[in-house]
Amino acid sequence: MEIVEVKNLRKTYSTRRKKVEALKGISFEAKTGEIFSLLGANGAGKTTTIKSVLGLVIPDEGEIFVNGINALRHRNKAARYMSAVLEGNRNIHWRLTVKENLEYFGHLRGMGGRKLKERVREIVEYIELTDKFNEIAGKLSRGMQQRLAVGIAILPDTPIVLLDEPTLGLDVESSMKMREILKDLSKSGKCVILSTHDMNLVEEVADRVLIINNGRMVAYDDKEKLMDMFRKRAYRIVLDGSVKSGVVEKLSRFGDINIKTNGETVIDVQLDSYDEIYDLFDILKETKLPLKRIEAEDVRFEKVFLKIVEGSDGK
Amino acid sequence: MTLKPWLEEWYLIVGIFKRFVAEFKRYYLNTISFFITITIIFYLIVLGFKSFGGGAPNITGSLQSTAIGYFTWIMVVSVLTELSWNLMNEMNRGIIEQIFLSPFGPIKVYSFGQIVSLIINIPFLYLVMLVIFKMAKLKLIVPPAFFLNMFFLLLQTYGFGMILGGITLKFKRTQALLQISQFAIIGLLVLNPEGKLGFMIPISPHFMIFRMIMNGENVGMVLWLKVFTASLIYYYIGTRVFAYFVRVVKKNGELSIY
Repeated sequence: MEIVEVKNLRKTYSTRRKKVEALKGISFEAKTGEIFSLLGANGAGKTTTIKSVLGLVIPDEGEIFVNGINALRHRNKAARYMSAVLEGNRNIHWRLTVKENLEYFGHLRGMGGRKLKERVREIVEYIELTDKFNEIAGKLSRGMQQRLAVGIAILPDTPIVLLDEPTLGLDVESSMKMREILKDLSKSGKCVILSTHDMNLVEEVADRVLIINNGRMVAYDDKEKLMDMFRKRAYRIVLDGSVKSGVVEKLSRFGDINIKTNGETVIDVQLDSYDEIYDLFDILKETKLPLKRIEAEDVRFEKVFLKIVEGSDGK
Repeated sequence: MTLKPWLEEWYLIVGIFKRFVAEFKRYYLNTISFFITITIIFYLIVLGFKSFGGGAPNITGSLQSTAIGYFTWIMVVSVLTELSWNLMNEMNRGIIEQIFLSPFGPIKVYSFGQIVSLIINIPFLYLVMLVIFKMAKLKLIVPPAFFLNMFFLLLQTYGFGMILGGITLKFKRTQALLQISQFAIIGLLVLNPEGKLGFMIPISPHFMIFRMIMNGENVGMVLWLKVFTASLIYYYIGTRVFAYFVRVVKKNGELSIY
């Protein structure tokens, strides 16, 4: 079920000197039980999109519906369904302890009494900060602070959780824990909207992806479908022996090709269409070298992202 | 399960109160220093009157007025600037956006914050005043009407505090403006609140009523109604101006900037 609907968001930031078009018609829908990822380079417009959904930035144009509520008109009503981890150290009160932070932000959501106390205990165990319960948040490590920020976000048990660059600056262990938390959230039926430029994170956890480049949507689909588009056309061909320079020249017409010769020839190629594989083999046939191996390349999401963004830049 | 709105609001107040207390306790040296300063000033006022007032028959009356005047002054300045200091702190620490995410909205959260601050400050300051009067072997007499006037005055000051808070949200570092605003209040006190629309002059009519109360004069119903109306108007204007600046910073995407 679609719980967040964003329609044609446009936003321009104006300063005295210049105007920056941050969003140029962003639209998407995010469903319950999925991890929806907004992906893009720094300054692509991810944070503005997230903040618009949260009501922290007012867009110039467009509509946002949260659980059917017009979030631009009824911000406070819509806010009941959302919680967030914002980028950087903007989520915790540095002077309060872990316990006080969780309780304070719980109260800010209208929670209280025994129910809040129980929930705080539950959350602190989940984020593995039980032994730091009475420690001042400012003294925790970056990873622990980020876990606390996530704890604050999931405390009110809202159906939508938005996270802006949740793995930024985290060590490996904390980053792994974050991945676990994200998967758990989606398994529990929440809609997780994740903004990141961490390709590995997207590859590992995201269900659907919206790629933004310079404020514009350049791809919006299931992650697997996006990867398949490239997976099927990326090959590694290994020939037993070195190919001659004339052949290398002929092969160079296939745009994205990398040829290494060292006793054997390894050709990594990304084809624009499936038919091209036959043209490629016509050329390789001329070498008369035995074909040692051919395999569809294991495409990393990073490569998919770069191809899509490069393609959109060329448009 | 959704709780009743009043219960959720109660929990919000409890949360803000607990945060205030936690910070008061954690940074106790700062808290103690603040109250010592206040105590010393009160003490000097009382001591000054006792030493130089001689056997004047109205010494207690004048002392009462001065002490209450000072007490009121501290409360007004505190309410006027508290929201702005609070906002600057939160922008500086970077948590302002999380506070804006509260489904109660920023106006309610910060209004409740001001109320909590008063709940903590008023009894404490009053206690300091009582103790010092006791030490000086004087009786502190505060007529009930004082508290009503104080409430109206603070309601109005909340409004001005909201306006300053809005300006702080937009212009970020307003420390100098906050200092100037304290002098502006002194300026307002010299204005004559009498006349047809005199009750609309900020703050001044309330101090006139304080003087009337301390002199044992009767404050008529009409005057009470007028100052209450003025306070409501200023409070309303304050919330609207604050809401306007909230919208401006959200439009410009500069909420988290400091």
